[in-house]
Formats: sequence, C-alpha cells, structure tokens
Amino acid sequence: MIPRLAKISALTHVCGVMGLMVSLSGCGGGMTPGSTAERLTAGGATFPDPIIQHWARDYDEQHRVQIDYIKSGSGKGIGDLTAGTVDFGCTDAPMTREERELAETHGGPVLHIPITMGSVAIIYHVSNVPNLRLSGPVLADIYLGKITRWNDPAIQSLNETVTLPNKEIIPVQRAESSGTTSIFSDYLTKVSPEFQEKIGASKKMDALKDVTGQKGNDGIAGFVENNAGAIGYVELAYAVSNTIPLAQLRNKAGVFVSPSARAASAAAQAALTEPKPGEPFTLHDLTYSLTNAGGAESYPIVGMSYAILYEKMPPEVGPIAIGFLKWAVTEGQAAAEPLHYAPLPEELQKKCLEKLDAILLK
Amino acid sequence: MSTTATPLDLPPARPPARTPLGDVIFSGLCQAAGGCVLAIAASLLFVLVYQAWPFLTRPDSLTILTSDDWNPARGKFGALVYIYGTIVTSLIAMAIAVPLGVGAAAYLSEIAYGRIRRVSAFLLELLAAIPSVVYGFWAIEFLARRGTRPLFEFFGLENHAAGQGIFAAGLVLAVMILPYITAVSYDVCQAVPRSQREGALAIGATRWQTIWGVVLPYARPGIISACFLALGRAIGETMAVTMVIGNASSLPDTLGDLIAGTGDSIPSAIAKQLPETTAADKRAALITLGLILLLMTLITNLVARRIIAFVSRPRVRAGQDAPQAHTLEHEIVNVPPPPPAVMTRTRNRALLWNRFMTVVLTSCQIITVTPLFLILGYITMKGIGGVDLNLFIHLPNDRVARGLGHAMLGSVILVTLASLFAVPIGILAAILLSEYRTYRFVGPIRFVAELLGGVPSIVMGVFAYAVLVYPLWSDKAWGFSAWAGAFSLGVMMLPVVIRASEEAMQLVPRGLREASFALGATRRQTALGVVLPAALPAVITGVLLAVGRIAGETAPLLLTAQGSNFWMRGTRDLSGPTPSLPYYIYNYSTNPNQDDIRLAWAGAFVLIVVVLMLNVGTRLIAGTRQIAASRAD
Repeated sequence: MIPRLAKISALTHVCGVMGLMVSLSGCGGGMTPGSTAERLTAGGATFPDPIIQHWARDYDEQHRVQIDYIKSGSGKGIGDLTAGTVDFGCTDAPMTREERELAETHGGPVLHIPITMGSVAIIYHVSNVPNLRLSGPVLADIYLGKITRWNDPAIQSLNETVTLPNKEIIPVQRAESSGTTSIFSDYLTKVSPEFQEKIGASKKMDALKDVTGQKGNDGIAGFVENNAGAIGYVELAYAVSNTIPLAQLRNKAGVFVSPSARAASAAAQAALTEPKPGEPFTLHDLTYSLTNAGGAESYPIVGMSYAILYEKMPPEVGPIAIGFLKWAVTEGQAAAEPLHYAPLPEELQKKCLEKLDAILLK
Repeated sequence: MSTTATPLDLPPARPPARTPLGDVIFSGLCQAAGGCVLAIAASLLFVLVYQAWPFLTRPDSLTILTSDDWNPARGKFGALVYIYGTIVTSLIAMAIAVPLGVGAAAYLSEIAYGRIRRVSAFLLELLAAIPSVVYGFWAIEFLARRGTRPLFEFFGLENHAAGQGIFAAGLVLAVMILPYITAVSYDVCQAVPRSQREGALAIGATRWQTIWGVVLPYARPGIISACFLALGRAIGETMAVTMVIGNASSLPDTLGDLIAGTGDSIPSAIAKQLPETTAADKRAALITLGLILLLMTLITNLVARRIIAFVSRPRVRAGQDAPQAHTLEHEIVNVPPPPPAVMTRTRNRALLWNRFMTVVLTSCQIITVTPLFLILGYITMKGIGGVDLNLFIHLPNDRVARGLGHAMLGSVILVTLASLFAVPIGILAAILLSEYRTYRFVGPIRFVAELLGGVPSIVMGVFAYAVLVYPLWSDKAWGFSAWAGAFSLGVMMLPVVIRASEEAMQLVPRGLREASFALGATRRQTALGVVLPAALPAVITGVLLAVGRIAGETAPLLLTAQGSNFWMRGTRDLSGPTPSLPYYIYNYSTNPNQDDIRLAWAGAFVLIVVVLMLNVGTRLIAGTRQIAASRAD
C-alpha cells in the first residue's frame, strides 16, 4: 500500500501517517500499510552508537534492512538481550559470570562479537588550557576525591608550561550501568591500587558516592561542555564531534598520548597478544582487555564494543542479524576511522565471521 | 412513546415485568468498567508485591530503609540516599510552594477581580499543563546553570555538579506543584461563605485582617489537604527530578551539603536502574522501592482525603453564630472605647500592614506565574528556530535533514490507543458511579479510582512492564510495544476521565432525570439519552485535559514503549518499540551535540504548543470554569 519508506517523499509520508491513523481507527478493515523493509530491534551501549547509526543508514540503503538501534547503556543492552526484548544487544563490558548464567537460563549460550574499538577520551572544561596532561594515578585520585582543585601540585607538575586555575574540579561519571565506565574503571584499577580496592572495575561505580552521574556518553560530554571545572570520560567520537578539549594521558611506556583511532589501534595490537587479565574476559571467546597496553604509541584507555546475541536464533530474524553483523565487521569497518574508531584487525574479523557462521537457527 | 397512543379508557400500561435486555447489558457493561478499575488496582498491587516478594522475605530486607550503601554488585541494597532525596526535595518544594501558593490563592480569591483574576487563573492552568520532561529540560539548561550554580558560588557552597542537585530538584518541584496548590486553595477560599467576609469587614477589619483572621482559618483544612495532595505529587515525580538531581549516591556530610549537595530520588533510581537490571535480587530491591514509593504517595493521599471528607461534612453554623455575635456585641458595649489617638494609631498600623500584605500577596501571585514566562520564553527562544517542515517529516538519522516526525506520529498513536482504552471504560465507570449509585461496589470503586490517580507514573510503568512487556506468567518476553506504552498511559488517564465525567454528570440537574423516569425511560435510556448528552461538554473537557496530561508523559514510556529510530511500517509495528516525542526530548536533552539539542528544543516547543492548545481549547469549551483545569487529578 505504501511504498518503501526510506525513499518516498515527504507527501507520501503524510499520506502514510494518515493511512495508518485510518487503519488504526478501525475503518481500514484489511488494510495493512507497510514497507517491505525488514527491521532488527537492537539496543545497548552508547559507546558504538555513532558508528552503528552510520552503519544503519548505509545498510538500509544497500540492503533494505533497518537496524533500529536505541542507545541506552551497556547494562540495558545485556538486560534487554537476556529478557529477549531485542534481537541483538551491544555492550562494551563482556558479560559477568552472573549475567551470563542468567542469560543462559533464558536463551542459551551467548556470543560476543567484537564490532569496533575505540578510545575513551578524558574531556575537561578549563579555559585557556588546550592540552592538559594527566596520568592514570592522578586521574584515579581526582575520582577518589583526593585531588579537588585544578591547580593541585599533582596536576600542575604534569603541566609545567601552563598556569592552572584555583578552581574546583567536578568529576562526572555515568548515571546508568555503562560499558564506557567499565573500560574506564578497568584502566584505573590497573594503575591505582587504591582505586582497585575501594571502587573496582565495573559497569557502574556505585562506591563513588559523591561523583555526580549523567546519562550516556552524550550526557557526560554535554555536562562537561556546559559546566566549567568539569572532567569526564567519553568515547572519542563524542568528544571530537564537539569542541571540548581532550587530555593527553601518560601511557605504560611513559609517553603522553592523545586519544585517536591510530593510538587505539596501536594499543589493540599490543593488547590482543597479551594474556587476558581475568574475568569477565576469560569467560568468552573473543573478548579482550585493551586498557593500559604497552608500546610508545598506545593510548592507555581503549575498549572494544561487542554485539551480543544468542547462539540459537529464531529463523525469522537470525539470518538478518547475522547478515548485518557480518557486513559490519568486514565492509563496515571502513567507516571506523572517519568516525574516530579503530577498525578491527583482519585476523579478528575472520574469527568474528567464523563465530557468526556457527549460529544455529531453530 | 407508545403510551401516548394508548386510548384513554384503558388502564395505563403495566411496567414491563422484566428489565429490558438492553438495560441488563448496559448495567453489566457499567459494572464491568467499574470492575475493571478494581481489577487494575488489585493487579497493580499484586504485581508489585509479587515482584518485591523475594526481597521482602530476605532477612536483611529492612536495611533498605536504614543503610545508605547501595551497591547491588556486592549485594548491598541500602536505599536511604534515595528515600532521603525523595523526602528532602519534596519538603523543599513544599516549603517554597505552600506559602507562595496560598498567598497567590488568597490574592486571586480576595484581592484580584475581573480580568486580572481570569488571566492569572489561565496562566496557572498553563503552568500545570507543562509536561514534566519539559520542566526537567528547562531545569538543566536554565535553572541549574543560571540559577542555582551562581547562587551556590555566591555563598561559597560546594556543589560538585554545576548547580544540579537536591536544591535545584526541590525548586523545580516547587514550580511544578505551585499551580496545583494555588488552584485547590483558591477553590477552598472561594467556598468560604460571603457572610463571613462581610461580617469581618463590617466590624472594621481591613482586607488583610479579613484574609488572615477569617478566610484562611476557615479554609485551613481544605488548604492542608491540598498540600498533602501536592506532596503526593512531588514524591512521585520522576522525570524533572531525575534530570536535575545530580544522580550522586551520597548523604550530606556537611551543613553546606544539606543545601548544595547532590543526591538521588526513588523514582529517579527506578527509572534509571530498572530497565537495565537483569539480576533478580536487584530487580526485587528496585520494585520494593517502587512499593515504598507507592505507600508514601498512598499515605499522603489518604490523609488528604480524610481531611476533605472531614471538611465536607455538613456543618450547621447558624446556631453557634448567634451567641458568639451576642458576646462580641456585649464586649464591645462593655469595654470602654480606647482614646481616639490610640484608635487612629492602631487603625493606621492596620492600614499600613494591609497595604504591605497586599503587595506581598500580589507578589506571591507574580512569583507563581513567573516560571511560566521563563519556561515558555526560554523554550520558544531555543525551539522555534528548529521548527520547520523537516522536523515533521524526517527521522533523526536521515541524511538530508533531521527531524522527529516518527516520534510525533508515535506519540499520536500512543495517546490515541490510550484514549481508546481509557475513555469508554472511564465514562462507563463514571455512569456507574453517578447513575447506579445503589450498586454495592460504587463506594470502593470511587475510592480506588481516586487513589489510582495518585499513583506515581513510574510505578505505572513498572506495572505495565510486568503485564505486557515481560509478563510475569510468561517465560518469554513480549517485548516493548505501543500496546504496553498505551496501556500504561491509559491506566494513568482512567482516573482523570472517571473523575471529570462523574463530576460532570453530578452537575446535571436532578429534575432532568426525574422527568426522564417519569416518561417511562429506563435507567439506560436516562443515562445515555439525558444525562450523558447534558454532561458531554464537561466530559469532553475532562478527556482533553487527560489527553494533554499523558501526551507529555515520559517515565512509564521508558519502561514500556522504549523508542525507535524509524517510521512505523504499519499496524504490526504496534507490537514493536514505539517512539514518542517526550522520549526523544529526554534522550537528546543532555547531548553535547548542538544539533541534537536543537532537535530536542524544537520537539519540546512542538509538544508544549500541542499541550497548551489542548488546554486553551478545553478552556474555550469549558467556558465558565475558573481554575478547575489544573485540578484534573
């Protein structure tokens, strides 16, 4: 009745709307307006949202499949997959043991498919300080509330060339359960024993009582951009698409590195060969901890985003989801660098394809 | 009627031996609608208790009230921070809104007249109609950044959240409940008999002395109950608070923190954490919080209703008045008048005081409606530039131009479905309450419907989630859907429709009914042919107000309809995630991307225009009603 929606003009839209309303109000009997386009329902991590929305546009145009991805945080990605309200979810933190067990009781074994990698940038709002330098321990102390002013000697000694203001630091964390937080806290636990002891690596730093929480990567970026003195952590794409300055971080080799797609790739290259640090990374096949990697060019806070889906999928949506993910981990990777993500290494792409091929349709 | 054709010499037709089938069916329908209300309330309670049960039966379940350590990953569920935040933000709101609201009501009722009164009442109604997500958006962008932050900096208070926090949340809540307190207090003041005022004025009291000594004391119980109803609203408010409270899970440890600190509230914690929770224990703990929230609002509502019931009991005053007047006269006669100099001084002081208080009361009214101009002005300024054709016909992800067309369509569909559910049931239930008053369950149904109106919206979301998104009895999720979203909105709408319709039918003169019965009409014929048509304009008013209220509702949709980035492809997508305008405003409101913010502002502008138009339209239909609109609870 209504032609494919993506291509039709404005006027037809309006007609479609009216047609829908008519059929809703019960006058339309057997009328079923609708396009032939298939649609996948997906949601979760905000970290990969910019690249997924980019993919969604391209994939819709090329394959006539709509990827309806709603960003809502990694925790919700896992929750929705477990509940079965999405066809696939996304998370930047591999499922924990409990989460995996719960999901298995609902839909069987879960696959983690890496889809992209990226840096978690430290953004701050201090005027006239374009290239702030920070180190892991200093960052941990800021979040632990031990460093509270911008001109603290610990920060000043890392930035000898500039005068930092005597202003309050407002650290920001995520209000909801988030994969970006898990990457960030994973890094801080590696560089600060105190942080590991008091807070630990998790999707939500519940023990950080005094730190204000904002919703989503965008929420943190928006908060920092709008509020002087603030500091926060966001996926790089959220930082560069705005005019917020990014801090350089001292990596394991002692070099100050700015976040970038290249620096993330360098970190991934170094980290992928290293042994996994422990749970939750050891629970799944293709999950890796990429933080605090060796190498002079590596940016220290790098994370990987995973699509999570059940090993057994219903035949109506299974092939569509598999088709999309296969496209995303191969052809789709070309979109990564322009959006400041690091493309998956080819070897990893192959492993992803193998995993996706093994999905059973029941 | 056939009886008129009956020849006169025949005895009048006997009444039918049995009630006609139509009447049986109709009264059955009305009872079913009433039963539906009871069933919804019962299942709401059951669903919450059932889901909270695993937590309630834990040996340490009481720590939820006593501990401030909320760390679900480590099995710690101390929700004191949330409870504290809920109570303190509500108290701040009450501390600001009660004096202002009562002052404004006193001004409107006793001092203002004619056009000023009408315009002020109209502005209050508009203020009451603004959706909470818009309040929240405005609070983030304006109140926190330009209001509380400079304030805290001026006083040297540490805030850690750029102005957001308990105080900002309390302020925005105050703005939200102000029109409510003012409207109800105004009604109560208006109900004070004229004779009381005239008596006071006649013995030489100034206007202020009349207000303070006669009107307010007489209206006190009604005002108190208005305050309790407003408190119930403040406690249950979700969106505006979650957007501006700062989301930090700490209790204040310094005196400055008491004011400038950040925190969290129960509805905010549920809205943020429940959708992402899989762990059974955390889920049960959050639902327990929902139950606590429900209890808090129920108690405030019950207290308010008790007071109302107490007040509205008929009181015979005539018998008491006479002796009082007598003693008063006696005193005046017996006490020698003070020397003229003292008289003038006292009189002058009273007049000065009167002038001063008139200014104070007027400013109360001005302060009460100021936020309306701040909000409307700010949103118009930010939003109107983004409103163009693209906004209505494009998707947020479109390459050519961005828009929120699908979300507007989604909102229309959600509201339509909700109305299709709530309006027939609501009107039928109202007919039961008004026209079949002898039926047994009428009392409980009215009571339950009123309580249902006080249930916080987030709790409705939890309920709809457990019934339609992931049904308790099913081992497989049904998924987010327009049905679930519309159901949650419909349940919120139901009490408003019932109350408005019942009130409207009560106003239909008894004589009309009697005339109808006298002509031999059955109850069904009377209800459908006489009462309902007479009450229809007021019923439509109530429905439109309810529509305006749910069109901007966000919290339950977070848990039920979710969102979608695409156009609905047809009716089958009603069982899939459905976008709505408030959802997108909420999601884009905190973005750094100026383009997203622009969309959010434009969306907020459209939403507010629609909601306000519904209210203005309602006002035109309703005609003479004064401030009743904002009372549509």
